[in-house]
Amino acid sequence: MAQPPVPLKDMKLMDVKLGQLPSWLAMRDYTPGGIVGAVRRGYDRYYNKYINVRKGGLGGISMLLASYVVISYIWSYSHISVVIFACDLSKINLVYFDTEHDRHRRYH
Amino acid sequence: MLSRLVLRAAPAALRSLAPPATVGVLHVTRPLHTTQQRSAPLPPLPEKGGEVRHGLIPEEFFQFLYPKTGVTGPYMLGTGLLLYLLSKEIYVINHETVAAACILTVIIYGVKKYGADVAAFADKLNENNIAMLLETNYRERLLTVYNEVKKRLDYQVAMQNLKRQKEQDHMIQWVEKNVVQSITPQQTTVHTMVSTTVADMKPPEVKCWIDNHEILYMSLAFISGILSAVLAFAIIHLCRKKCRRPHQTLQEELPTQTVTEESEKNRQSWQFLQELFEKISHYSSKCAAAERFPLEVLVLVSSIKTNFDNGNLQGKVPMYGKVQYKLSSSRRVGGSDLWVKRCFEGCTDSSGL
Repeated sequence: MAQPPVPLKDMKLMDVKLGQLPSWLAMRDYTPGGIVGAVRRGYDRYYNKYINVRKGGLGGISMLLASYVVISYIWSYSHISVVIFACDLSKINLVYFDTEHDRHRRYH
Repeated sequence: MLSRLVLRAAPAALRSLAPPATVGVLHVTRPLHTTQQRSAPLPPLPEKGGEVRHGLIPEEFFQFLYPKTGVTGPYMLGTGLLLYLLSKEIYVINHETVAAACILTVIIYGVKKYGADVAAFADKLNENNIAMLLETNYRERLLTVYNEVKKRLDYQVAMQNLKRQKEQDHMIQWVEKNVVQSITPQQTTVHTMVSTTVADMKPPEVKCWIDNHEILYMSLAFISGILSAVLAFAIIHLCRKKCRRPHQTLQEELPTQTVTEESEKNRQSWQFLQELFEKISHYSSKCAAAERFPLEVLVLVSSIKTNFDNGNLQGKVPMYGKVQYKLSSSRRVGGSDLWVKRCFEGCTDSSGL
Protein backbone atom coordinates (compact mmCIF):
# COMPACT_ATOMS: atom_id res chain seq x y z
CA MET A 1 0.00 0.00 0.00
CA ALA A 2 2.62 2.44 -1.06
CA GLN A 3 0.89 5.68 -1.67
CA PRO A 4 2.48 8.18 -3.96
CA PRO A 5 3.96 11.10 -2.07
CA VAL A 6 1.24 13.66 -1.65
CA PRO A 7 2.31 17.28 -1.76
CA LEU A 8 2.19 18.93 1.62
CA LYS A 9 -0.53 21.37 1.00
CA ASP A 10 -3.00 18.77 -0.16
CA MET A 11 -2.65 16.55 2.85
CA LYS A 12 -5.42 16.40 5.34
CA LEU A 13 -4.80 17.73 8.78
CA MET A 14 -4.89 14.33 10.40
CA ASP A 15 -2.07 13.06 8.20
CA VAL A 16 0.23 15.96 8.80
CA LYS A 17 3.06 15.21 11.14
CA LEU A 18 3.63 17.53 14.03
CA GLY A 19 6.88 18.85 12.68
CA GLN A 20 5.28 19.79 9.39
CA LEU A 21 2.44 21.61 11.04
CA PRO A 22 3.73 25.19 10.77
CA SER A 23 4.60 24.83 7.10
CA TRP A 24 1.26 23.19 6.45
CA LEU A 25 -0.52 26.04 8.14
CA ALA A 26 1.46 28.54 6.12
CA MET A 27 0.44 26.93 2.87
CA ARG A 28 -3.26 27.12 3.49
CA ASP A 29 -5.42 29.47 1.50
CA TYR A 30 -6.12 32.57 3.53
CA THR A 31 -7.78 34.67 0.88
CA PRO A 32 -11.38 35.68 1.61
CA GLY A 33 -12.55 33.22 -0.99
CA GLY A 34 -10.49 30.51 0.60
CA ILE A 35 -11.81 31.25 4.06
CA VAL A 36 -15.38 31.27 2.83
CA GLY A 37 -14.75 28.01 1.06
CA ALA A 38 -13.31 26.49 4.20
CA VAL A 39 -16.29 27.62 6.26
CA ARG A 40 -18.66 26.22 3.71
CA ARG A 41 -16.86 22.92 3.61
CA GLY A 42 -16.91 22.65 7.35
CA TYR A 43 -20.58 23.48 7.48
CA ASP A 44 -21.36 20.95 4.79
CA ARG A 45 -19.44 18.23 6.56
CA TYR A 46 -21.16 18.81 9.88
CA TYR A 47 -24.56 19.18 8.29
CA ASN A 48 -24.32 16.05 6.19
CA LYS A 49 -23.01 14.00 9.03
CA TYR A 50 -25.31 14.93 11.86
CA ILE A 51 -28.39 16.69 10.55
CA ASN A 52 -29.17 15.61 7.02
CA VAL A 53 -30.09 12.05 7.93
CA ARG A 54 -33.24 10.07 8.15
CA LYS A 55 -33.28 9.41 11.85
CA GLY A 56 -31.30 12.21 13.30
CA GLY A 57 -30.72 12.34 16.97
CA LEU A 58 -30.33 14.92 19.61
CA GLY A 59 -26.58 15.08 19.20
CA GLY A 60 -26.73 17.19 16.10
CA ILE A 61 -28.04 20.37 17.63
CA SER A 62 -26.96 19.70 21.19
CA MET A 63 -23.33 19.81 20.12
CA LEU A 64 -23.93 23.15 18.46
CA LEU A 65 -25.63 24.55 21.53
CA ALA A 66 -22.96 23.25 23.84
CA SER A 67 -20.23 24.81 21.76
CA TYR A 68 -22.19 28.06 21.76
CA VAL A 69 -22.39 27.95 25.54
CA VAL A 70 -18.68 27.30 25.84
CA ILE A 71 -17.72 30.08 23.48
CA SER A 72 -19.94 32.60 25.21
CA TYR A 73 -18.46 31.57 28.54
CA ILE A 74 -14.98 32.13 27.19
CA TRP A 75 -15.94 35.56 25.91
CA SER A 76 -17.47 36.61 29.17
CA TYR A 77 -14.73 35.14 31.32
CA SER A 78 -13.06 38.46 31.91
CA HIS A 79 -16.24 39.74 33.49
CA ILE A 80 -16.57 36.77 35.76
CA SER A 81 -12.98 36.35 36.77
CA VAL A 82 -12.69 39.31 39.08
CA VAL A 83 -12.40 38.26 42.65
CA ILE A 84 -15.02 38.65 45.34
CA PHE A 85 -13.43 40.44 48.16
CA ALA A 86 -13.78 39.13 51.65
CA CYS A 87 -17.17 40.21 52.73
CA ASP A 88 -17.11 42.73 55.46
CA LEU A 89 -20.39 43.58 56.93
CA SER A 90 -19.83 47.09 55.71
CA LYS A 91 -19.07 45.94 52.20
CA ILE A 92 -21.95 43.54 51.78
CA ASN A 93 -24.09 46.16 50.16
CA LEU A 94 -21.40 46.99 47.65
CA VAL A 95 -20.76 43.41 46.73
CA TYR A 96 -24.37 42.37 46.46
CA PHE A 97 -25.10 44.41 43.37
CA ASP A 98 -21.78 43.77 41.70
CA THR A 99 -22.08 40.73 39.44
CA GLU A 100 -18.57 40.97 38.12
CA HIS A 101 -16.88 39.70 41.18
CA ASP A 102 -17.57 36.01 41.04
CA ARG A 103 -14.40 34.15 41.70
CA HIS A 104 -14.15 32.88 45.22
CA ARG A 105 -10.39 33.22 45.55
CA ARG A 106 -7.87 35.41 43.97
CA TYR A 107 -5.04 32.96 43.89
CA HIS A 108 -5.25 29.35 42.96
CA MET B 1 -34.82 14.49 15.24
CA LEU B 2 -34.21 17.63 13.31
CA SER B 3 -33.77 15.61 10.17
CA ARG B 4 -37.35 14.47 10.31
CA LEU B 5 -38.44 18.05 10.10
CA VAL B 6 -36.02 18.57 7.27
CA LEU B 7 -37.41 15.58 5.48
CA ARG B 8 -40.81 17.16 5.48
CA ALA B 9 -39.46 19.49 2.84
CA ALA B 10 -38.86 16.50 0.56
CA PRO B 11 -42.53 16.24 -0.48
CA ALA B 12 -42.25 19.65 -1.99
CA ALA B 13 -39.66 18.21 -4.33
CA LEU B 14 -41.99 15.40 -5.17
CA ARG B 15 -44.72 17.84 -6.11
CA SER B 16 -42.53 19.19 -8.82
CA LEU B 17 -41.83 15.72 -10.06
CA ALA B 18 -43.06 14.66 -13.54
CA PRO B 19 -45.74 17.22 -14.23
CA PRO B 20 -48.34 15.50 -16.34
CA ALA B 21 -48.76 18.64 -18.41
CA THR B 22 -46.23 17.39 -20.96
CA VAL B 23 -49.10 15.94 -22.87
CA GLY B 24 -48.33 17.78 -26.02
CA VAL B 25 -44.89 16.29 -26.21
CA LEU B 26 -46.10 12.74 -26.17
CA HIS B 27 -47.72 12.80 -29.56
CA VAL B 28 -44.75 11.21 -31.20
CA THR B 29 -44.13 7.66 -30.16
CA ARG B 30 -40.65 7.50 -28.86
CA PRO B 31 -38.99 5.12 -26.51
CA LEU B 32 -38.90 6.44 -22.98
CA HIS B 33 -36.19 6.18 -20.39
CA THR B 34 -33.49 5.26 -22.81
CA THR B 35 -31.36 8.37 -22.62
CA GLN B 36 -29.04 8.96 -19.77
CA GLN B 37 -30.62 10.84 -16.94
CA ARG B 38 -29.13 14.27 -16.76
CA SER B 39 -29.92 14.76 -13.13
CA ALA B 40 -29.69 11.51 -11.31
CA PRO B 41 -32.05 11.03 -8.41
CA LEU B 42 -30.60 12.00 -5.10
CA PRO B 43 -28.75 9.29 -3.25
CA PRO B 44 -30.85 8.13 -0.34
CA LEU B 45 -30.22 9.84 2.94
CA PRO B 46 -28.11 7.95 5.42
CA GLU B 47 -30.19 6.18 7.97
CA LYS B 48 -28.53 7.43 11.13
CA GLY B 49 -26.28 10.35 11.84
CA GLY B 50 -22.87 10.31 13.35
CA GLU B 51 -22.72 8.68 16.73
CA VAL B 52 -22.65 11.03 19.63
CA ARG B 53 -22.09 9.84 23.14
CA HIS B 54 -23.98 11.50 25.96
CA GLY B 55 -25.35 13.92 23.41
CA LEU B 56 -22.20 15.96 23.51
CA ILE B 57 -19.08 14.18 22.39
CA PRO B 58 -18.72 12.46 19.02
CA GLU B 59 -17.83 8.84 19.07
CA GLU B 60 -14.72 9.49 17.03
CA PHE B 61 -13.08 10.99 20.06
CA PHE B 62 -13.52 7.82 22.05
CA GLN B 63 -12.21 5.76 19.17
CA PHE B 64 -9.27 8.08 18.86
CA LEU B 65 -8.22 7.50 22.47
CA TYR B 66 -9.09 3.84 22.67
CA PRO B 67 -5.78 2.35 21.42
CA LYS B 68 -3.78 4.20 24.02
CA THR B 69 -6.02 4.44 27.04
CA GLY B 70 -8.73 1.88 26.61
CA VAL B 71 -12.35 2.36 27.43
CA THR B 72 -12.07 4.60 30.46
CA GLY B 73 -9.53 6.92 28.94
CA PRO B 74 -11.83 9.66 27.76
CA TYR B 75 -13.74 9.60 31.02
CA MET B 76 -10.57 10.02 33.04
CA LEU B 77 -9.59 12.85 30.77
CA GLY B 78 -12.96 14.44 31.31
CA THR B 79 -12.78 14.13 35.06
CA GLY B 80 -9.27 15.50 35.22
CA LEU B 81 -10.19 18.41 33.04
CA LEU B 82 -13.21 19.20 35.14
CA LEU B 83 -11.26 19.15 38.38
CA TYR B 84 -8.58 21.34 36.87
CA LEU B 85 -11.10 23.86 35.68
CA LEU B 86 -12.80 23.95 39.03
CA SER B 87 -9.68 24.15 41.11
CA LYS B 88 -8.10 26.90 39.13
CA GLU B 89 -11.45 28.58 38.91
CA ILE B 90 -11.33 28.76 35.21
CA TYR B 91 -14.90 27.63 35.54
CA VAL B 92 -16.41 29.78 38.26
CA ILE B 93 -19.26 28.50 40.36
CA ASN B 94 -21.82 31.18 40.81
CA HIS B 95 -25.52 31.67 40.45
CA GLU B 96 -25.36 30.87 36.77
CA THR B 97 -24.06 27.42 37.56
CA VAL B 98 -27.08 26.70 39.66
CA ALA B 99 -29.38 27.98 36.95
CA ALA B 100 -27.61 25.93 34.30
CA ALA B 101 -27.83 22.83 36.46
CA CYS B 102 -31.58 23.22 36.91
CA ILE B 103 -32.17 23.85 33.24
CA LEU B 104 -30.06 20.91 32.19
CA THR B 105 -31.85 18.64 34.59
CA VAL B 106 -35.19 19.56 33.18
CA ILE B 107 -34.01 19.21 29.59
CA ILE B 108 -32.43 15.83 30.14
CA TYR B 109 -35.45 14.55 31.96
CA GLY B 110 -37.72 15.71 29.16
CA VAL B 111 -35.58 14.20 26.46
CA LYS B 112 -35.23 10.90 28.21
CA LYS B 113 -38.88 10.58 28.86
CA TYR B 114 -40.48 11.90 25.68
CA GLY B 115 -37.75 11.67 23.11
CA ALA B 116 -38.79 8.37 21.58
CA ASP B 117 -42.43 9.41 21.32
CA VAL B 118 -41.65 12.64 19.54
CA ALA B 119 -39.40 10.82 17.12
CA ALA B 120 -42.08 8.28 16.30
CA PHE B 121 -44.63 11.02 15.79
CA ALA B 122 -42.41 12.90 13.36
CA ASP B 123 -41.71 9.71 11.46
CA LYS B 124 -45.37 8.99 11.15
CA LEU B 125 -46.05 12.43 9.74
CA ASN B 126 -43.33 12.07 7.17
CA GLU B 127 -44.40 8.70 6.01
CA ASN B 128 -48.03 9.58 5.40
CA ASN B 129 -47.18 12.58 3.36
CA ILE B 130 -44.89 10.73 1.03
CA ALA B 131 -47.26 7.87 0.50
CA MET B 132 -50.06 10.22 -0.37
CA LEU B 133 -47.96 12.13 -2.81
CA LEU B 134 -46.71 9.01 -4.49
CA GLU B 135 -50.26 7.87 -4.88
CA THR B 136 -51.30 11.18 -6.32
CA ASN B 137 -48.41 11.20 -8.72
CA TYR B 138 -49.22 7.72 -9.89
CA ARG B 139 -52.82 8.60 -10.47
CA GLU B 140 -51.94 11.70 -12.39
CA ARG B 141 -49.71 9.77 -14.71
CA LEU B 142 -52.42 7.17 -15.15
CA LEU B 143 -54.79 9.91 -16.18
CA THR B 144 -52.28 11.19 -18.69
CA VAL B 145 -51.96 7.79 -20.25
CA TYR B 146 -55.71 7.44 -20.40
CA ASN B 147 -56.10 10.79 -22.12
CA GLU B 148 -53.45 10.04 -24.68
CA VAL B 149 -54.92 6.71 -25.59
CA LYS B 150 -58.38 8.21 -25.80
CA LYS B 151 -57.11 10.88 -28.17
CA ARG B 152 -55.60 8.33 -30.46
CA LEU B 153 -58.77 6.28 -30.52
CA ASP B 154 -60.86 9.37 -31.10
CA TYR B 155 -58.68 10.20 -34.03
CA GLN B 156 -59.28 6.82 -35.56
CA VAL B 157 -63.01 7.12 -35.02
CA ALA B 158 -63.08 10.57 -36.56
CA MET B 159 -61.14 9.33 -39.55
CA GLN B 160 -63.59 6.53 -40.13
CA ASN B 161 -66.57 8.83 -39.81
CA LEU B 162 -65.08 11.31 -42.20
CA LYS B 163 -64.32 8.65 -44.73
CA ARG B 164 -67.81 7.23 -44.58
CA GLN B 165 -69.31 10.71 -44.88
CA LYS B 166 -67.21 11.54 -47.90
CA GLU B 167 -68.14 8.32 -49.57
CA GLN B 168 -71.81 8.97 -48.92
CA ASP B 169 -71.66 12.48 -50.27
CA HIS B 170 -69.79 11.46 -53.33
CA MET B 171 -72.17 8.64 -54.04
CA ILE B 172 -75.20 10.86 -53.63
CA GLN B 173 -73.72 13.45 -55.93
CA TRP B 174 -72.83 10.88 -58.52
CA VAL B 175 -76.26 9.31 -58.44
CA GLU B 176 -78.00 12.63 -58.72
CA LYS B 177 -75.84 13.69 -61.59
CA ASN B 178 -76.53 10.54 -63.50
CA VAL B 179 -80.21 10.74 -62.82
CA VAL B 180 -80.37 14.29 -64.01
CA GLN B 181 -78.41 13.40 -67.10
CA SER B 182 -80.74 10.56 -67.87
CA ILE B 183 -83.72 12.91 -67.82
CA THR B 184 -84.07 14.76 -71.12
CA PRO B 185 -82.96 18.38 -71.12
CA GLN B 186 -86.44 19.74 -71.82
CA GLN B 187 -87.86 18.12 -68.77
CA THR B 188 -85.38 19.87 -66.52
CA THR B 189 -86.64 23.33 -67.35
CA VAL B 190 -89.55 24.16 -65.07
CA HIS B 191 -91.63 27.15 -65.98
CA THR B 192 -92.00 29.37 -63.00
CA MET B 193 -93.64 32.55 -64.16
CA VAL B 194 -96.01 34.24 -61.83
CA SER B 195 -97.94 37.24 -63.01
CA THR B 196 -98.13 40.11 -60.63
CA THR B 197 -99.61 43.53 -61.08
CA VAL B 198 -97.93 46.76 -60.27
CA ALA B 199 -100.51 47.53 -57.62
CA ASP B 200 -99.58 44.41 -55.81
CA MET B 201 -96.09 45.52 -55.43
CA LYS B 202 -95.84 47.08 -52.01
CA PRO B 203 -93.05 49.37 -51.09
CA PRO B 204 -90.16 47.46 -49.60
CA GLU B 205 -90.46 47.47 -45.90
CA VAL B 206 -86.87 47.92 -45.22
CA LYS B 207 -86.49 48.88 -41.66
CA CYS B 208 -84.21 51.84 -41.36
CA TRP B 209 -81.41 50.89 -39.04
CA ILE B 210 -81.02 54.45 -37.88
CA ASP B 211 -83.75 56.78 -36.77
CA ASN B 212 -84.11 60.42 -37.58
CA HIS B 213 -83.46 61.28 -33.96
CA GLU B 214 -80.31 59.23 -33.88
CA ILE B 215 -78.97 60.91 -36.99
CA LEU B 216 -79.51 64.26 -35.40
CA TYR B 217 -77.79 63.31 -32.16
CA MET B 218 -74.86 61.75 -33.89
CA SER B 219 -74.32 64.69 -36.17
CA LEU B 220 -74.52 67.04 -33.19
CA ALA B 221 -71.97 64.98 -31.30
CA PHE B 222 -69.65 64.92 -34.28
CA ILE B 223 -69.79 68.65 -34.82
CA SER B 224 -69.32 69.39 -31.14
CA GLY B 225 -66.35 67.04 -31.04
CA ILE B 226 -64.71 68.79 -33.94
CA LEU B 227 -65.42 72.20 -32.43
CA SER B 228 -63.98 71.21 -29.07
CA ALA B 229 -60.86 69.84 -30.70
CA VAL B 230 -60.43 73.05 -32.65
CA LEU B 231 -60.97 75.03 -29.46
CA ALA B 232 -58.37 73.00 -27.60
CA PHE B 233 -55.82 73.48 -30.36
CA ALA B 234 -56.51 77.20 -30.49
CA ILE B 235 -56.00 77.51 -26.73
CA ILE B 236 -52.74 75.56 -26.87
CA HIS B 237 -51.51 77.65 -29.78
CA LEU B 238 -52.36 80.87 -27.97
CA CYS B 239 -50.57 79.71 -24.86
CA ARG B 240 -47.52 78.86 -26.86
CA LYS B 241 -47.63 82.20 -28.57
CA LYS B 242 -47.78 83.94 -25.20
CA CYS B 243 -44.69 82.09 -24.09
CA ARG B 244 -42.92 82.99 -27.29
CA ARG B 245 -43.65 86.74 -27.03
CA PRO B 246 -41.25 87.65 -24.20
CA HIS B 247 -38.45 85.93 -26.08
CA GLN B 248 -39.19 87.76 -29.23
CA THR B 249 -38.74 91.12 -27.53
CA LEU B 250 -35.05 90.31 -27.16
CA GLN B 251 -34.65 90.68 -30.80
CA GLU B 252 -35.61 94.32 -30.54
CA GLU B 253 -32.47 95.11 -28.61
CA LEU B 254 -30.00 94.28 -31.31
CA PRO B 255 -27.61 97.07 -32.34
CA THR B 256 -28.45 98.89 -35.51
CA GLN B 257 -25.99 99.02 -38.37
CA THR B 258 -25.43 101.24 -41.30
CA VAL B 259 -27.81 100.96 -44.21
CA THR B 260 -25.45 99.26 -46.63
CA GLU B 261 -24.30 96.81 -44.05
CA GLU B 262 -27.90 96.33 -43.11
CA SER B 263 -28.99 95.47 -46.60
CA GLU B 264 -26.00 93.24 -47.12
CA LYS B 265 -26.46 91.54 -43.79
CA ASN B 266 -30.18 91.26 -44.36
CA ARG B 267 -29.59 89.60 -47.66
CA GLN B 268 -27.09 87.23 -46.07
CA SER B 269 -29.24 86.45 -43.13
CA TRP B 270 -32.25 85.95 -45.33
CA GLN B 271 -30.25 83.50 -47.36
CA PHE B 272 -29.04 81.86 -44.22
CA LEU B 273 -32.54 81.60 -42.82
CA GLN B 274 -33.80 80.08 -45.97
CA GLU B 275 -31.09 77.49 -45.90
CA LEU B 276 -31.76 76.86 -42.25
CA PHE B 277 -35.40 76.35 -42.89
CA GLU B 278 -34.68 73.98 -45.71
CA LYS B 279 -32.29 72.05 -43.59
CA ILE B 280 -34.72 71.78 -40.75
CA SER B 281 -37.49 70.53 -42.94
CA HIS B 282 -35.04 68.19 -44.61
CA TYR B 283 -33.90 66.80 -41.26
CA SER B 284 -37.32 66.55 -39.78
CA SER B 285 -38.60 64.66 -42.74
CA LYS B 286 -35.69 62.29 -42.73
CA CYS B 287 -35.53 61.42 -39.10
CA ALA B 288 -37.63 59.01 -37.15
CA ALA B 289 -40.68 60.31 -35.47
CA ALA B 290 -39.12 60.22 -32.06
CA GLU B 291 -36.34 62.56 -33.10
CA ARG B 292 -38.52 64.90 -35.02
CA PHE B 293 -37.80 68.54 -34.60
CA PRO B 294 -39.90 69.78 -31.71
CA LEU B 295 -42.83 71.85 -32.60
CA GLU B 296 -41.60 74.93 -30.79
CA VAL B 297 -38.43 75.14 -32.83
CA LEU B 298 -40.33 74.94 -36.05
CA VAL B 299 -42.74 77.54 -34.81
CA LEU B 300 -39.89 79.75 -33.74
CA VAL B 301 -38.04 79.52 -37.00
CA SER B 302 -41.19 80.08 -38.96
CA SER B 303 -41.94 83.12 -36.82
CA ILE B 304 -38.46 84.46 -37.55
CA LYS B 305 -39.07 83.86 -41.21
CA THR B 306 -42.44 85.62 -41.20
CA ASN B 307 -40.96 88.51 -39.25
CA PHE B 308 -38.24 88.76 -41.81
CA ASP B 309 -40.73 88.65 -44.63
CA ASN B 310 -42.77 91.37 -43.05
CA GLY B 311 -39.72 93.48 -42.72
CA ASN B 312 -39.93 93.54 -38.96
CA LEU B 313 -36.31 92.62 -38.78
CA GLN B 314 -35.10 95.54 -40.88
CA GLY B 315 -32.00 96.70 -39.24
CA LYS B 316 -32.05 93.85 -36.81
CA VAL B 317 -29.84 91.01 -37.88
CA PRO B 318 -30.62 87.70 -36.36
CA MET B 319 -27.18 86.44 -35.69
CA TYR B 320 -26.46 82.85 -35.13
CA GLY B 321 -25.77 83.33 -31.50
CA LYS B 322 -29.01 85.16 -30.84
CA VAL B 323 -31.05 82.57 -32.67
CA GLN B 324 -29.42 79.81 -30.75
CA TYR B 325 -30.02 81.70 -27.54
CA LYS B 326 -33.64 82.03 -28.34
CA LEU B 327 -33.90 78.41 -29.25
CA SER B 328 -32.16 77.21 -26.14
CA SER B 329 -34.16 79.51 -23.93
CA SER B 330 -37.42 77.99 -24.95
CA ARG B 331 -38.31 75.51 -22.37
CA ARG B 332 -38.83 72.17 -23.89
CA VAL B 333 -36.31 72.20 -26.63
CA GLY B 334 -34.04 69.56 -25.23
CA GLY B 335 -31.30 68.67 -27.66
CA SER B 336 -32.58 70.91 -30.37
CA ASP B 337 -29.68 73.34 -30.17
CA LEU B 338 -27.54 70.46 -31.33
CA TRP B 339 -29.95 70.00 -34.19
CA VAL B 340 -29.76 73.68 -35.02
CA LYS B 341 -26.00 73.53 -34.90
CA ARG B 342 -26.02 70.63 -37.31
CA CYS B 343 -28.32 72.56 -39.61
CA PHE B 344 -26.10 75.60 -39.37
CA GLU B 345 -23.03 73.60 -40.22
CA GLY B 346 -24.75 72.46 -43.35
CA CYS B 347 -25.64 75.98 -44.37
CA THR B 348 -23.27 78.36 -46.05
CA ASP B 349 -21.34 80.47 -43.69
CA SER B 350 -22.89 83.66 -44.95
CA SER B 351 -24.37 84.83 -41.73
CA GLY B 352 -21.20 86.61 -40.89
CA LEU B 353 -20.19 84.63 -37.81
